[in-house]
Amino acid sequence: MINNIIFYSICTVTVGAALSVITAKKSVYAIMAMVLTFFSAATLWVLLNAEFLAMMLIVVYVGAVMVLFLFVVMMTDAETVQHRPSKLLSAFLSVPTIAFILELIIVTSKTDYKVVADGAAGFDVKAIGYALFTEYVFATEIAAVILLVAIIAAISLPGVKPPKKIEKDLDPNYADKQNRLNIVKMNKDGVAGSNMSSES
Amino acid sequence: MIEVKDVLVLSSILFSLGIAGVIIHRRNLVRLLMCVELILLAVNINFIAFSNSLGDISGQIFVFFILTIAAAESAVGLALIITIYREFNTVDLDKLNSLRE
Repeated sequence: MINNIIFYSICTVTVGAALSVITAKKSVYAIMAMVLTFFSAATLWVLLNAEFLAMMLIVVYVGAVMVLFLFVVMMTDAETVQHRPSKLLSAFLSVPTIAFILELIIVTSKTDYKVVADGAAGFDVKAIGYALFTEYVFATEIAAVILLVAIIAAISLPGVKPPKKIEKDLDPNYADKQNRLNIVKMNKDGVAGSNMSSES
Repeated sequence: MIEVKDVLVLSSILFSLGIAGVIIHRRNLVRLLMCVELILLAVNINFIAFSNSLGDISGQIFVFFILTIAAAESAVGLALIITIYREFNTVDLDKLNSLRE
């Protein structure tokens, strides 16, 4: 009973936060709403006997990915992108969205799901670790390699400098040591030598 | 006890909101990535619900891998966004049309 009350209140918080993720005017507020969504989803996962994954969601997503998002929003001009969905678009969009949600609700509530355990046996971290390194060991290795690739890409991609925009051949004001100063060899009579320089 | 159906309804609502967000924010790259994260969260909630009701640990393992791949995806995606911003000085998808010109 108490579980149900907690569950429905968490559902309300999750849906409200997800709504404000997509309706917030500023990107920073959307990120804060996203953090709230992840926290309430983690609470829901604790109710569903997935404590380890709930902690991982908070540590990985709220701790790392959302901070990255905040960093990118503050570094780029994502805040100033003019996004003003017109009233017409919103009206046209809300109808199929609500219809889609209703259809999913109807389909999921009409279907009869087989319930075997019903959360009677909770899983512990030991069981997850055992499954990860016996049955799913190859998938774990592949995930490790993908993480390595992601690290290399994330470090090296922004480090690549964009090519210099100044084209010195076309710029009339461009000057450097080579074409401003000309050193000319002179002989004793004050007549310039063979390599007479052009006035440049 | 929490019914599977209720959790599925919650995750379907989250999924639809994510899809609607992708359509609403189709010009802003950062918001687009956030809505994709919302969709992935809905998928994870589904996996956890079925793992709980069927008493099978495989669902949680799947969620583990999805979290790993999603973290890698968003790290690379944000790195790409920063690279795009350095090159074009904007993250507005409507202005990234240098191939058209």
